[in-house]
Amino acid sequence: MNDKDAFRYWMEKVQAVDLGDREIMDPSRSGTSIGETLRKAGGGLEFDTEPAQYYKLLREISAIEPGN
Amino acid sequence: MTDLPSNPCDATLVDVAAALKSGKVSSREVAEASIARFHARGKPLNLVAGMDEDAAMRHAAEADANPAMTPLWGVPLAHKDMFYRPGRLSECGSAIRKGFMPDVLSGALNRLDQAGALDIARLNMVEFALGVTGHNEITGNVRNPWNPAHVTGGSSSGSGASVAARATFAALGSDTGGSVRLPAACCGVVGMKVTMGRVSRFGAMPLSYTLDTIGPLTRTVTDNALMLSVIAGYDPDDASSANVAVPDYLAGIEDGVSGLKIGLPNSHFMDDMNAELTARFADAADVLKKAGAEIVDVDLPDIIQYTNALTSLITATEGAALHQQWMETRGDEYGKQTFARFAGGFATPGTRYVQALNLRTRALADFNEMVFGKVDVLMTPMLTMDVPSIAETDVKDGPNAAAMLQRVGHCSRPINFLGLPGLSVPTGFTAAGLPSSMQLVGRPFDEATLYRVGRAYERDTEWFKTAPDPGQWESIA
Repeated sequence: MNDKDAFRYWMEKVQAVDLGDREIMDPSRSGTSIGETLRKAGGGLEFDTEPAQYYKLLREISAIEPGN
Repeated sequence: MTDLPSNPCDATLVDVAAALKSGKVSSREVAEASIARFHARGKPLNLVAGMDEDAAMRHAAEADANPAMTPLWGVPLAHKDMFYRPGRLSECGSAIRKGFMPDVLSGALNRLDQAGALDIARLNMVEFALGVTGHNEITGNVRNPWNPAHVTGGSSSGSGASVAARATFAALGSDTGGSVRLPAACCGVVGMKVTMGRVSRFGAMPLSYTLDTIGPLTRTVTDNALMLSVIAGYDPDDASSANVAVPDYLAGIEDGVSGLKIGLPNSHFMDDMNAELTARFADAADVLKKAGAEIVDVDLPDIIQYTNALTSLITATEGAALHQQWMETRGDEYGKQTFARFAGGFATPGTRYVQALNLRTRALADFNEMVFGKVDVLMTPMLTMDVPSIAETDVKDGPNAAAMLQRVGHCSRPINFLGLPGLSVPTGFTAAGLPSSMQLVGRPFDEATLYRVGRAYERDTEWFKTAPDPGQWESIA
């Protein structure tokens, strides 16, 4: 990095610019904000889902029997 | 079993394992050949992070003295430098972990040990497995055996290149956003990204708890099935491990594709693909059609177009949480791109992170209904661009980094977001002499059907019999 305190450099010089329009940028810095990506994808619209439901579904739709 | 070639390293994993069992060759002879290959090819291609030759030969002698009928008895292998083994370095392609000596044995290595395999070398990788091209500012770039000016793909760069260079028969990699399948695609070998929970992640360096998977890279589809049959299965040491039965991946692998429906995507995966790769992809579909598969066009849920960015978001956020302490105190020891991508994760609001994770449920449900309600396997390209050169993708944390990373991960990351199995299979070579590839995507825990389709294609094309020309890189210092 071009500064000994690379973390502070990044937060001050880069992240501050990204926060300029009050939207946090996509971590890959694609130019699209996280909020915009999630809104377009329909994120936050479900009230009763949770990350753990994903793992349950993964097993439910497989054709493999449980257990080794 | 076919006769072994004059150098056993040129044999497939299946053939060398059979030759060892039958006594046609000793573990010592095969280990010596593999070590010699790593000496000759490791330096110009920058394959090796570390190799203990004395230990390797000692273990080979022990194998010869104690023959067993385990699946990989006496076979020397080498793996990405992120699978922990007590008393051995595991430096994860980084300066931060320089000298790190783990005290646990990785679940995947444990299963390979039980199967009788030798573990002779640690292979170079992208720093902390965060990168799809194979660049590494700390340990140097691994070079592509088909053309050393081109990338290997990442992050399992040394794994892909070592298998392609015939230095090892198989190598473990990790796949969070494409890190097994992309090196496989760029290096012309076979790579399996398994269903979430299929292979133990215990004792493997973490990058993203919700996306990380462990999988094998091999020269052939059958070799890959053999490797997965060894490493797959429930591990109580890994809280995310799935207690789901492991089928015999080799049992039906020669059954062909008659009666199977293979889907071609109507959206996303073909975006901006160049004409030559489009034609090669169509040719591959035609091979499977002639072999008896029914080829069907399928629509995909709209959410697929966002899964590349969502995978990046989750990876950066979870990675930032893991790396914060080091980034605050030793930030100057990270490569520029690694630091910038992790640092972006600090900006993710907790609410957005949870919403991104929640979307996986709907994305998987919709994908399952629209794709697997219609076909058995989805076939996509692995890359929509030619394997790029090291120079043109050396963007570090510059303004073009995000676009380039998104382009390379365009076809791989959606499958990580969904958590489905994906198999990267070589489909030959472009006019420039670089590998082309396809991805086969299956239902959860149905890696067996992917092997069956991949093997049917491989049997009719035999691209794996083409080897890179060592003359083009053995003179590189």
